[in-house]
Amino acid sequence: MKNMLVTGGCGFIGANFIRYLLKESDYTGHIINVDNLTYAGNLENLADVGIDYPEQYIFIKADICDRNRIMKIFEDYQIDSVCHFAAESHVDRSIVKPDAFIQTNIVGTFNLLESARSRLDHIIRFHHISTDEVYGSLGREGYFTETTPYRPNSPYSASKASSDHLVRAFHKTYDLPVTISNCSNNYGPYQFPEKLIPLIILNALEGKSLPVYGDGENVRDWLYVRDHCTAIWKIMKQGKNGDTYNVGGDSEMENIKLVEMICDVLDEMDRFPDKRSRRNLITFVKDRPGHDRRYAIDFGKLSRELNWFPEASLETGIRDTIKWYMENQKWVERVKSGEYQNWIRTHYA
Amino acid sequence: MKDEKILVVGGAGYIGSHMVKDLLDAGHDVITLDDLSTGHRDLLPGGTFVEGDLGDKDILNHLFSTHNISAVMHFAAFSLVGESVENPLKYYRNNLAATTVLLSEMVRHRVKRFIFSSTAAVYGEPLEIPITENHPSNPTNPYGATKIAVERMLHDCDSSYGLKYISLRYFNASGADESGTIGERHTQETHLIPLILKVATGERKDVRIFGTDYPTPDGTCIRDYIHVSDLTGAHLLALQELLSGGESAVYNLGNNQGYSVREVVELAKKVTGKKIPVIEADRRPGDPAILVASSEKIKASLGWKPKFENLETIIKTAWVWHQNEVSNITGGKK
Repeated sequence: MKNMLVTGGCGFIGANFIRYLLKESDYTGHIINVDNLTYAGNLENLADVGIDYPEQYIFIKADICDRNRIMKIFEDYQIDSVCHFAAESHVDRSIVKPDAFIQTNIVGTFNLLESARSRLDHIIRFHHISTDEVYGSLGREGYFTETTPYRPNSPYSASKASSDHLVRAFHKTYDLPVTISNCSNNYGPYQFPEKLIPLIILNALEGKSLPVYGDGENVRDWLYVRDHCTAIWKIMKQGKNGDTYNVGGDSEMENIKLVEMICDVLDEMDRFPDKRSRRNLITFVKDRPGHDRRYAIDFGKLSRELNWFPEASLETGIRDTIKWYMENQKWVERVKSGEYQNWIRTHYA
Repeated sequence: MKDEKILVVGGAGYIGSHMVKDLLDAGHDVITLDDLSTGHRDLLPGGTFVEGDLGDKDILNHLFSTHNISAVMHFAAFSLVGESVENPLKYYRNNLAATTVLLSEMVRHRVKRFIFSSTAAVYGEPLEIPITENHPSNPTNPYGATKIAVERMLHDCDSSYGLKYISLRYFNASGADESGTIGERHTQETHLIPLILKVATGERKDVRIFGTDYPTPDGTCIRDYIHVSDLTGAHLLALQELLSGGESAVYNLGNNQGYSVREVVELAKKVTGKKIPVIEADRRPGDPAILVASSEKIKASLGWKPKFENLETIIKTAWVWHQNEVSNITGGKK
C-alpha cells in the first residue's frame, strides 16, 4: 500500500489512526486525508503531523458525498488503499435529525466504493470502519460475534448497517478487496467532548453536573482508541479479503459504574478544596429513546486469526485519558467554543 | 465543479486587483493572497482575502487543503527594474525562490493550472521589432532574469508533473478600469503615465525624460502601451483555455504600436488640459530604445482582441482614476 486514502482523518478515531500509522507503525506510504471538517473534524488534531511528515501526509477538505471530487482525488493521488472512517456518529444527533446520517454514511460510502471500483485493478484494500451497534442490543448475557444477525435500532446504526451491506456487496459483485471492522465504544485522546467519557471528565473537572441516562445501568464495552488503531492496521495488512472482524476492549461496564470510577480517579488526582466527592455531581436525566441496553464484543476471531489483543484496560485507559484532557485544556477550550456549545445547549439542557 | 475557486496571488496590486474584479464579474469565486508589501487592501474589489507571503508554505498548504482551487494566477512580484539592479537578491528571493515554494505546494496538492505574469523585459535589447515570442531571451536586468527563470521552471514542471501554464509577457501595462474605482497606485511610482498624471494633478512638479539621444525619431524611448483591462481579458481567455484542458503556452501582450516618451507627454497634455513641465535627463542603464510587441500569436490561438488600441483612450481611463485618488486622499468620499 503506497497511497492510502483515509476519510474522516480529522476526527477522533481517524486522527488517532493517522498518528499511529505515521509515528508507530511500519507503514511507509502516503496518507491522503479527506475530511469535510464538520463539527467533529478538527484540523488541530493533526496540526503537528502536517509539520512533521510533509512528504507523507496531505490534507484535503472535501465531502465524500461529492462524487466528482472524490473520483478526482482517487486519480490525482493514485489511491491504492482506503480506510474509511468518515461518518456521522453521534446517536443522539441521529435521533434529532437523521438526514445527514443517510447522506454521509450511506451515499458517501457508496461514492467511495464507486470511485474505488473505477480503479479496481489498482486497489489493494478497502477497509470500512463500522460499529457493533449494527447488531442491535444484547440482553444481560451473550456477546456480539461476526455471525450475530444485524438488527440496528437507531437511525445511526441503521445507516451504518446499510453501509456495511454495500461494502460487502461490492466485494461479492465486483471483487473489490474489502475488509470491515465492527468495534465497541471507543474512548481516548482527541475524542469530541459530546461523548460520555470526555463529557463526564470535563464536567467533573469543572464541578458541573454529570448527566447519566435513565437508571445508569446500560452497559457498554470500552475500547481504548490506540488499541482500535492497531487492530485496524493488522486487519488491513493481514485480514482475509471480504471478511468482517469485531474489535473490542474486553471492558464491559455499566454507565453508572464508569461515571463513579471517573469521579474517584479525578478525586484522587485533583481533589476539590472542600474535599467533597465528585460522585455528588451525578444527575440522572431522561433516557435516550430506544436506548440499547447492553453491548459486548467477542473479538475471538481477531485474536485467533490475526493474533491481536487490546493492550489497555479500563483502569489504565481511563487514567491516560483523564491525564490527556487535563494536559490539553486549550484543545478542549477551542473545541468547546465552536459549534458544540449550541448542541450541548439544545440537547442536555 | 461547483465549489472551484481561482487563487490570485498578488491580487491587491495594480494588475491583480483588475484581474480579481474581472474574475468576479465573470462569475468566478476568487481567493486573493497578498502580503500587502506593494498592494493595497482597499483596492481589492471582492472575494476572499488572505494576507500572507506567496512563499509561505504553511499558508499555501492551508489554502490548497481547504479550498478546491482549480487554477492559480500569479501576479505577485517586485517589479522595479532599477531596484533589481541595486538589490538583485531581493528579486531572486521574492520573484523566483518564493514562486518555487508556490509551485511546490501546487504540485503537492495536484493543482495543475497556472497563469503567470511575465514581461517584455525577458527579451533584453531586441534584435528586431516588433518582438515575437520566438525572439531569444536575454534580459539585461535581474528583474527580467527572475521572470525568465520562472518561465523555465514552469516549462520543467509541465514536462515532469504535467502542470499546465500560460505565461503572458506584458509590454507596458497602463490605464485603469473604466469604473474609475481601481487603478495604479504605487508608493514608489516609476511608471511614465502615472508620473505625468501626478504632474497634472499638482502632486509633482515635473516629469523626467531619461535619455533624449536614443536612435528613434524624437530621441526618446519608444514603448508599446497596453490597457490593464485588455491584459485581464487575455488572462480570462488563458484561464478558459487551461480549464478546458489546453496546453501550455507563452504569449506577448501588447498593442503592436510604439509611442515615444515625448508623444505620451503630448497626449497626456491633451487629455488633462494641463501643462506638463519636462526635465531632460540621462539615459537609465538597461533601457532598450524600442520595445514593441507582436501579439499575433495570442490573437490567433485564443482570439484575443484588445479593446483599447488608442493610447489617448488609455490615458483618459488613468486620468479618471488619478483624479478620484486625489479627491479621496484630500477628504473626499473616504
